[in-house]
Amino acid sequence: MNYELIAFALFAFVTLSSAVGVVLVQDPWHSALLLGVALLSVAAHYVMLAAEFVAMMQVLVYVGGVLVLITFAVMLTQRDESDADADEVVQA
Amino acid sequence: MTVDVQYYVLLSMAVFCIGLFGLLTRRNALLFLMSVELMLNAANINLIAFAFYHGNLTGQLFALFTMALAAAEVAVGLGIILVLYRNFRDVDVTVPTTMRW
Repeated sequence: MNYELIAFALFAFVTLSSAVGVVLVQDPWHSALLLGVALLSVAAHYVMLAAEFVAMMQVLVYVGGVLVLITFAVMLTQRDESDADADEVVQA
Repeated sequence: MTVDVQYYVLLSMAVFCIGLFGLLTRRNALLFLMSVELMLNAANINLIAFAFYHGNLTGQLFALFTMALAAAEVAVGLGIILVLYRNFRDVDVTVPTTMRW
């Protein structure tokens, strides 16, 4: 049994399914979370390719920095439905 | 016994195609940023796989450059998306049809 091939297949499945989820899910916040899963599994691929430093930088830079910036963008550009409801109440 | 390099190339190709599909089909500007991140990660998988295949560290060095570039790109893209939202009250990229407001 080739255990590295099994581990590669499992992490490749996680990477591809979460990447498909990023581009197909309607809610931007859910796709940001799925992007985090995809980036972490790519870091696991880096560990299997004997690139531990790049894997650590992947976790620190992407999951710690890029994903937080994307979270800021998602939260700052959300249309708050409470305003529309308030307008309807005022108009009624 | 390690995994052959062509499996990593196939994985990188699949992730790149998924990112390109998201870039071409979605209209949310935030999904553009995330799809570009997926495509840059696909390029990084190729760089790391070929660095492992050739046994030197040049690919890993270029992967670190790519990661720094991706971090800067997300910061600039966040600013552009916030300006877009301020001016149009939306992040749909088909709403702005002119660069003059």
